Amino acid sequence: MSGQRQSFTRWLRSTSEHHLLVVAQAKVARANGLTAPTPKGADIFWQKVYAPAFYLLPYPLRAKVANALPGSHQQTWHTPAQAKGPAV
Amino acid sequence: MAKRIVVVGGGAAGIGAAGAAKGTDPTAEVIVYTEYQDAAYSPCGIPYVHGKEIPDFERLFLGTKQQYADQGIDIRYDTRVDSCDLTGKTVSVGGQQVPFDALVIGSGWDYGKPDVPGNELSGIYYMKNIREAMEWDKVLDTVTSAVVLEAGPLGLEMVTALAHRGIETHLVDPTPWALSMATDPDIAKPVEDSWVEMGVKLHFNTKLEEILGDADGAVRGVRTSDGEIGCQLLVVATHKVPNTALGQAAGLKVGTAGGFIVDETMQTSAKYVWAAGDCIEVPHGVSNVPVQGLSGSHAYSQGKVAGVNAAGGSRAYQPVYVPWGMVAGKWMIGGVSFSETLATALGVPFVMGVAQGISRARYYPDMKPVKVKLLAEPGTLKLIGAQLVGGEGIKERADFLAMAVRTGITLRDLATMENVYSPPIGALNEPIALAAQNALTKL
Repeated sequence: MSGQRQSFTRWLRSTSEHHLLVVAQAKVARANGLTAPTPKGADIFWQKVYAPAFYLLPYPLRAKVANALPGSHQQTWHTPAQAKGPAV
Repeated sequence: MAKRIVVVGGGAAGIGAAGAAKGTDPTAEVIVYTEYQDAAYSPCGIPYVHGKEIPDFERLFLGTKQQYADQGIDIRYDTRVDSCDLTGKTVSVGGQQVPFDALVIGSGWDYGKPDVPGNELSGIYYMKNIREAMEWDKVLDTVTSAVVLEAGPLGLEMVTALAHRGIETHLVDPTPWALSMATDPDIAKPVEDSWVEMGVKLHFNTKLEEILGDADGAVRGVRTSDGEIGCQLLVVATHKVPNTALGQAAGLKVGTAGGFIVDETMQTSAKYVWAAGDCIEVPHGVSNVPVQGLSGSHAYSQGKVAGVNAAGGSRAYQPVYVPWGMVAGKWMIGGVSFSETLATALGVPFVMGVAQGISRARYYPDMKPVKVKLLAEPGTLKLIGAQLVGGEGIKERADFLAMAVRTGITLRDLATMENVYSPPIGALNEPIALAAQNALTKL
């Protein structure tokens, strides 16, 4: 993985994450009787075009894309087996 | 010949790593480099000294310099590591090459600097270092009005601290409610109301556009998207940015959260190099997406894992579920994993239950309200997140719910949970069970 590609994927994730959060905050704000800022400039693309398109994708596909991005989650992480039931 | 373990950083991760390395291999030479005059203090306690809940800064130190020396940990204060040569296994310190057998990087984080005119003025406080905090504490005695920029965790603590101190405090945040990246408006509402009672002026949906200075180059106010606010102090509490410059220059890989890529042993992309704390990213236990910028307890635990492995031992870290909690305004607030807002942002499907309970028997003096909000995966009903606000018992519930998420506990388990009932410490109905029951009624 080149440093340049990592930089792009980091930018993509942080930009996407920011705008998805802003869209969600606006939705939850409205549901709670609050107001939220109106997007301006380049934010309009991310919040009015990108976000709705993102949510049209099925969740498993979105999760697959997120997991394909480089990061610590692609390294070795063992989840300990959970024993079921009481100890004795 | 003794193994030499070099640790970069004297915060929770670095000191955790040094202690664990020495404990694993007592013969190892452990050297910690820190740019600061001190190591091993609790920066998380600084807001409470500013707010006068803690009487002095000295109490925040976890150990004396002599105690670390007695443990065989060689801390080099005021010493910067300029570069690392991972192939030659050396670090460059003051022009000298220091060889190492194992390197642990705990280089921490920096605040995201406001990208607005005036950001070089004096009177802008980035709360982090204890010596600087001691000086800023004297400044606070002279300040009558202050602006806190952004309502993240540190911002919440500083707003509360400044209000306690009797300073006219303005909170400026570009989002619609406090702590909106982690919690929901109905959970934040009691906190915000209590700030208003304490005299805090809240400016949500408001962007900082310029920091205004006087003729001497000191802050005299801020210009925002909602007008000007006069102040003598600006407290910057923006998001944590991982400090990865040293490691990246040496070739260590970073991930999409901006932290060093590590595995469960905290090993980085380079052999003989481990990293821990706010400069790394670790996978979230629910989403598997890497996250960064967690708490001091995470940094310390990660540091211990890194130290053990760097010294030749074997210890693994786990994906995180991120329980959190704090005092904000007159309330305790906390949670774990997903809020309704965060789940909505990521498009994670959920079912939700909310309940307002109480912390003690209703007739017992000082009974406090406790509100609980639970999110679960549809179908399996496994818990994926929780939020709480109340007068007491929030931290313990957040810890418990973090284990519930981690172990796959369902809403049905929680709805029928047993609970302690004793009038001074617990009510007949546990608020967590009530919230789970509320969720089940909606299915």
